Formats: sequence, C-alpha cells, structure tokens
Amino acid sequence: MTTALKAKNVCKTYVVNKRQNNVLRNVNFTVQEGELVAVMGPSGSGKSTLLYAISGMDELTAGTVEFFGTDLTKVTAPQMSDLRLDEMGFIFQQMYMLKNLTLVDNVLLPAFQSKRNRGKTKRKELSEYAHELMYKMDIADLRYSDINEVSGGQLQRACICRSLINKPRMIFADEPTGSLNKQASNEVMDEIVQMNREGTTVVLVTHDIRVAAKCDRILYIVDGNIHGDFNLGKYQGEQDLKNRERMLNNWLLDKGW
Amino acid sequence: MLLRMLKKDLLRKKAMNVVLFLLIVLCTTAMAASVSNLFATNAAIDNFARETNIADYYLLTPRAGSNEQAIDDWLSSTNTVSSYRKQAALVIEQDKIHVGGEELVSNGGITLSPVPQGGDYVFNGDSRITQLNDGEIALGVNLARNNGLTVGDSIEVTSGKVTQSLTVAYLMKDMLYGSDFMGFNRAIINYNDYRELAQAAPPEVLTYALYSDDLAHMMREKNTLIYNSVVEFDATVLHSTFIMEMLTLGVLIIVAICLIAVALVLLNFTIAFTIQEDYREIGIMKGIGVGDGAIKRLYVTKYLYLSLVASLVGFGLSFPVSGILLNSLTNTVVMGTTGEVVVVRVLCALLVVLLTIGFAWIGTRKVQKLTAIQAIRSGSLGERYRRKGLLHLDTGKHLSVPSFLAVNDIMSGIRNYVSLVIALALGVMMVALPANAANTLRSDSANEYFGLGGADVIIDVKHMTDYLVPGGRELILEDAAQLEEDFAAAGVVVDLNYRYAYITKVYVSNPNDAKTITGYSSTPGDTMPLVGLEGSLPLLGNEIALTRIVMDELGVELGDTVHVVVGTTDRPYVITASTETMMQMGQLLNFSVSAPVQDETISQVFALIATFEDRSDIPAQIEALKAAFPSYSFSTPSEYVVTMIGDIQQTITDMKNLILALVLAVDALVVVLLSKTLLARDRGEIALLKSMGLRTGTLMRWQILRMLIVALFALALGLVLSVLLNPVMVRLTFGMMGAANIPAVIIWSEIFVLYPVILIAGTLPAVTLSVLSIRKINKDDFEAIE
Repeated sequence: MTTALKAKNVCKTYVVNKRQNNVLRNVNFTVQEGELVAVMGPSGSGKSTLLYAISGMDELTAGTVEFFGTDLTKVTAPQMSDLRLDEMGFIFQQMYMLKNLTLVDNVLLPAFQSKRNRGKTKRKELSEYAHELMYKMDIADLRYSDINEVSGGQLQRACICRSLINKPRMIFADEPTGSLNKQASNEVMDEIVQMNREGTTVVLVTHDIRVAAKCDRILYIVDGNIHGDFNLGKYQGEQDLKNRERMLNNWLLDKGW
Repeated sequence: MLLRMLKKDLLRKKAMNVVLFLLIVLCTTAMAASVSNLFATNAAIDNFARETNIADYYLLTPRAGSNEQAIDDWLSSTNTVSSYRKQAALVIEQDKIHVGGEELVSNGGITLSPVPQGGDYVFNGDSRITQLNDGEIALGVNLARNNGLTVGDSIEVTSGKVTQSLTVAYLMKDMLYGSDFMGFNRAIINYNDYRELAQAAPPEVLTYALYSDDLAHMMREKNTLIYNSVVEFDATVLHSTFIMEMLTLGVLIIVAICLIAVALVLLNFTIAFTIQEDYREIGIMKGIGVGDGAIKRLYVTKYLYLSLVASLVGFGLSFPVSGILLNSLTNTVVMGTTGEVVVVRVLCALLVVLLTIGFAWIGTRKVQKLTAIQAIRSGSLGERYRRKGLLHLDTGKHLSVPSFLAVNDIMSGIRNYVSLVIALALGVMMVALPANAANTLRSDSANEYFGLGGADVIIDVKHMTDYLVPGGRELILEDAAQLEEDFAAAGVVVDLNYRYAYITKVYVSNPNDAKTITGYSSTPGDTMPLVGLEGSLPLLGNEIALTRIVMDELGVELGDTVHVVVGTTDRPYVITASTETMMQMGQLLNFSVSAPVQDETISQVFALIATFEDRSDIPAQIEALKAAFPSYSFSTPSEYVVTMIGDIQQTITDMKNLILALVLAVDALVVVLLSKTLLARDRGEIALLKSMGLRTGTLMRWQILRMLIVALFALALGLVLSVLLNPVMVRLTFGMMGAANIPAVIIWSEIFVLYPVILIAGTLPAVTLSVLSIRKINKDDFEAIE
C-alpha cells in the first residue's frame, strides 16, 4: 500500500505578544492511500492547525511532510499551488464559495484553472463531469442557483463537488459537518465515505463521534501531540454504526475525552 | 469604551482607513486649492488694473501733424474727461534692437518709454518700479521670456545715430502692454536715456490715458475730432487681452470641478463601502442591545477624527498645490493680498469634514432599517433571487479563469465601478479637451482666423512703418511690385499680398454713437480671405464684411448699410458678409480690395503674405529667398501667429502636459484606492482561491484585469464625451477670442491612441503595485468571506 502522507516531527509555533505558543509539538503519523482518517481532540488541541500544516496551507516551524513522496517543505510556492489544485481537495466547516458565481461555476473554477484541463473539448468534458458530480450529490437541479439560494447542506455538498472536480488524490476536510444539522451532516458524511470508497484518501477534523465513527482510523490529538491512534476498520454501513460509535466512545473516554 | 473601540478599529482596518485618509486629504487639497484659486484669479486681474491705475480709454497718436494739437484742444475744453495723462514713447523697430548681436524677437519692435508717472505703472514682482538708473532697462516678462533674457543681460537699442547698451534691471509685470495678445511690447528706461534716444530720432508716439465718468458721452465728443490714431482701446480691451490667463483660469476651473467631483464620488463610495464591510459587527452590536444611536455615534466619531486629521493635512498641502496651479498667472499679474483666500481654504477643509460626516451618517442610515440578523448577514435578507452575473464558466468556453472572474465581477456589481468610471472618464476629458484646443490653435484653420489664409510664408521686410502715412497704399503697391521682381530675379516667383489696417469709426445712423474698430484690407490681389463667412465676400468698393460680434453690437444684419469713417471721410457701406476672426478680440471690419480708402493713413501693416507659383517644393523656395534676402525674416503662418499673440500654443501645450501629469497622478491614486478597497472586500475569496491552488500571479491577473477593463471602458466613455463636448470647449475658449465656430481639430492618433496608452501605462503599474499585497493573503483571511 502506498503512503499518501507522512508527517515527521511536525512543529508549529506562534509568537503572540512575545509569547511563544507551541501549537504542534513533534507530530508524527502516516496516512496510507485510500484511508479515511479522522483527527479528533479537545478545543485548542491543534487539530485544524495540524490539518493546515500537513496540507501545505500553512508553513511548518520544523519537521517535514511528505505528500505521495513529495516533501512539501521543499516545494516552491507555485509548485505548492499546482499540488493543491491538482492533487488535493479542501472542504471547510464554513461553506466558503465565491459569491458572484453560481454553484456550478464555483465547482468548475478549479478545474478550468488546472493546466491539465486546457482545451475546448476538455472544458466540455469538465462541465459534464461537474454535472455528474452534482447529480450524484443530489444538487444537479441547483447548479445555476446563486450560493445564497440554497441550504447549508446543499452548499456543503457543492463544496465537496468542488473538492472532487480535479479528481484529487487526497481530500482535507476541516469539520465538514460542523455547521450542519443532523440530517445534513449524515448526508454529507455519506458522500465523503462514498468518495473514499471510490479511491480518494481523506483526512478530516471533527468533534462529532457519529462522523468519526464512519472513518477507518482516528488520531487523537492533545496539546499538539498525537495521544492515540485507533483503527476502526472500514465502515460497512448504517447497521455497523452504533457499534463503531460505542467502540470509539469508549476509546475516547480512555484518552480523557 | 467608544474611544477604545475606535482605536481598535483604526488599527485593525488599517488599509481601508489609510484609503479613506488619503481620499479626504485629496478631496480637501483639491477643493481648498481650486476654490481659493478661483477667488484669487477672479480678483487678480481687477487688482492688477487697480494697482496699475488703468485709465478708462487709451488713444495712441503720432506726435506729428495736427494730431497732438487737436486732441489737446479738445481735452482742455471738454468736461466729459475727468482727468488724463499724456506720455510720449518711441517705437523702436526690431532690427534696431539687438541681443548678443541677434535681432530682438518681437513683432513690430518695442515701445520704449520713461518710467510711468501717475498711472500705467509697471511692477517688479508685487512692487511698483518707480525709478531706473542710467543704462538700465525693464522688460515685460513675456518679451524677456520670448528672447531668453533675464536680469543682468545686455541689450543694444539704436535710435538714429545713437546706440545705447542697456542692462536688463527688471522683468516687469505690465498691465498695459504686458500681454502677448496686445500686439505691443513695452520697455521702460530712465528719463535721461529716453531723452537722448528721442532727440536722436523723432517723432514719438503719444499715449493719451483718459478718465471719464461718462465714457459713452466722451466717445461721442471724441468722434467729432479730426486726427489720426495708431490705435485706440478702452479698459475692457485691456482686461480681455489677458485672454491667456483667462484661458488658464477656465481650464483650472474645469480641472478643479473634475478633481472635486472625483474626490467626492470616491469618498462617498468608500465610506458607504467601509460601513457595509462592518455590517456583521453592527449586527452583533445590535444583537447585544447596543442602540442605533450609539452605533451611529461610533461611526460618526470615527469619521470625525479621521476627517479632522486628514483635512488638516489636505489644508496644508493646498498651499503648494495652489501655488503650482497659479504659477503662470503670478508671473504676469500682481495678485494682491490673499488673506481671504486662507479663510476660503479653512472653509473648504471644514466643508470636507462636514461632507465626510454627512456621508457617514447617510451610510449608517441603512443600519437602522436592518434587524440584527440582517446586519450579521451583511445586509442580505436571504430573499434575493436575482442573478448576479450573466456569464457562466460552463457556457463561456473561451475566457481564462482570471478573465472570467474579472468580467463576472464587473457584471455582478456594476455599481461598485461607477465611481471609478466617472473618475477616469473625467480624467480623460481633462486631457483630451485641452489637447483638442491646442491642436485647433495650431491648425491651418486657426491661421486663417488670424488673417493669414492662403499664405505659404510671411515676410517681414523691416520697413513696414514707412507705409503708415496718408496714401501709404500706393507705396505698398509699388513695393510689392518691386519685391515680386526682386524675388523673381532670385528664381522664386511669388504672389505678394500686404495685409494692413485702418482705424475706422462705424455707425448706423448717429455719428456720435460710432464704434472705433480696425478695418482690414489687402493689396494687391483679392479681398483678404475670410472665415466663418455668411453672405458674400465684399467685392465692390461700397461693400464690407463685419464680424458677427460687431454686427450684434451695432444691431445690424446682412444687407444693412452702415457708415464707416476712415480719417475724415465718411462713406456708406453695404454689409455683404458676416465673418469671424481671432484678431482684435473678434472686432473687425473687412474692406473689399476696391474700397475707396487708398488716400487714408494706414495704422498698421500686419503681414506681407507670399504665395508661391510653383507648389512643388515650397521649403526649398523659402530657403532660396532666405539666402538671397538675408535682411528679411521669413515665418511660417504658425510662427507668425506666435509673434502676433505670443506663444499661446506653447502655453496651452505646457498646460496640457501639466494636466496630463495631474490626471495621471489622480488616476493612479484613484485606481490604487479602489483596488485596495476591492481587495479588502475580496481577501476572503482570494484566500479561498489560494487554498484551491490558484497561484498569486493568477489572482493578481484577476484583480488587474478587472481594473483594466473598467479603465478601458472609462477611457472610451471619456473620449466619446470629449468629442461630443468639443463644440462647448470651442465656444468657451475660442469664443472669448472671437472664433466661436472655429472647427475643432482632433488629432485622432494623439487623442485615441497616444493619451489612452499613456493613461493606461501610467495607471497599470499603480494597480499592479496595489494588488501586490495578495501575496500576503493566507488562510487567516477566510473569515472575511461574507
């Protein structure tokens, strides 16, 4: 199995008012290709900082991150941009979208920008692919809607479509269901599981045990350090969920959740 | 607490606050400098006339024959003239004045007189020149500039057998003859030097400066006198000879209005924009129970502090800016005291503060109408179903992502760009209209308006004053025939045509109501070509053409008969044509070639026009004439216009360049301000696009393209408007000079290629620099997404 991500001695320190704040302290872990990994931990433990650090969205204070063999600390800014455009997808807790574009245009934008997708024919194919993705996410009818005409769940599903449009090798998601109600949260998480089943590696940050229970592996982070790594195995479906939630809950309680 | 919030706000939103600060500074500077200049320039010419002690009427006559006696007798008996001055002067031809061995550049030489006493004073800076030492000369600012002379330079003046070497002691401001438009140049010397020169070569010219409480009555009396005058004019003509300054003033007013409009539009936009940016915080304040009044007070206090400091800075800057804008006027005019100007500037600065607070108050008015949650949702009610953009990525296959984003942004929020379009379009008009004016003045049409139509070259044979005698026309005919023969002997066949003038009095029925104007004629050949012609060219001896201005003043129309008095002869003439001219401020009469004025005294020969028979190589023929007749001077029509009215074209060109530089600076500032404003709004989306993998360069291209598209649209709009407004520009500028209908000349390559390229090339780096901060936007800016 290919190693998708390898974090080695990752440190991140902020200096605020001359006070040093070590948010990540020598974090080490790996993610294999095809895994669906959840990062959990109390508020302020460094979950989001870790996600931004390993995705190249933020600079490290020390350590290295290898993304499918490429050391992200050694690539130039344009190379990093290309990696993010073609190889990575991002889903945020807030459904960030460009307000002057329709849903489908928001989804298509990274695809049209990618150098891999130049040419008229390619653009037509991409439009069809965007429609296909939106159809799968059940938002095809809303593709020409303004972003403030749709619900939060529909918007987050559009964000997932956008993260998938360039067929990335890995998706990073920062509390993707954090702003959604239970039903919408379930729907979105099911989509993430589905895309993982189709081959996309996913690392997500969450507080929600129901969300984490659908993941293969849980990393528990406290005070900027990985305090536990729990392997739940592949999620098989709704019938398995209660049991996985119980197991995860017990493990988290052991860790001081 | 209010002050703490204010302090935090000023620091946290540094970029927007700096933008606002700069705008208020710009607005205050533009308003304070322009409005105070308006006051200063309006008062300046009047002040100059007062300081100079200008008379109501001037009459210049040769000190020969019975002229002096006739006028003196009348002055001693009349009670229509309250007081008068009489001053003698020498007219020294330009070939008798040398600077470093070269002839002085001055159309018609200079009028040399002793230091004026009792009036018509001259000034060094703002101080009156009351005496000069032996061997010193004071020259008019324009005359000195045209000859590259400065204080300390030496100048040689010859009168008869006497030659004096004089040192330039002052460059003087002279209301009487200081303007290029007057057609005379005055120099002042010490009385002893003057007496020596006058005794060497009389006769002199006498200047009568008449003061009257009833000018119309005085004119009726004077019109009954029999005398020959060189020129006559009243005080209003003196005011209007400062046409160049008035033109500069007119352009300054337009520039000022544009600047103020630009600054106010941007200020209003920016304040409304910054308050909208704060809707979320306003919503939170409302949510926790802070009252609308307190929220309004918070913003009004913020803008009050900001505008007070910025206005103070703008007030300070208005002094040097005003000085630069008034530079050309202060060189030639005694400006007078400026105490009230400072008060005007203070009032302008306070007005900007009030406007800023007013805009802030209006901007916060919407806050009252919004609920807390609506404010938190950035003013959105969640019920808008109107499509924003008309373009779609999945249907528009040809645009790159940055281009698509740029076009889509503009189409989604056209209102955001209105202020930029107005500001840039005004800027283009500010450049294009003076350029069109300069090109019109430099055109062949303008030369025709100066009576030089049909000329290949204008020749100065240096003895034009010989013709200023009774029956001078016969001398002109003889000389013209002789000159044509001489030129033919040198291998150049030319048709020569002298253009000259008589002082005439024109009336409809009552000789006492006669109007003194210059009557032009030409010999030999056809009637002088006329422009702006309505009716038929005067051909018969009893036919004349009058300018529309004169016809309106006399209340006559084509076909009417008027009486024209030349010398002592009064004859009826039929008006066959109305014309336009830029000579004599548009007040002119044209005789036909066969008009019975051949025995009268010519007052001025203003040009000897040459038209070459062989049209193949005119420059070579001019060079051949120059070589064969080195003592004559040869000018192109455009060069000759410069000698007639001064280098007005250069002044307009300088002004045009100054405006171009000013517009470039303002445009750069405007695009920087708007780019920064839009960037502050877009930083959340930029952070998002960066997270998606769009490179900084791509994002910069988006922002630059957006501004470029708007700038190009504004340029096109400004150019179209400037073409449409050309007739207004012509009426405003050339109308003052008597040519309200001169066809405006547009050099398309200059207006539609050169200036747009310069303006875009000037503003593009400003936009690029202002969007460089995209490099610093990162994930921390996500929260700025609405």
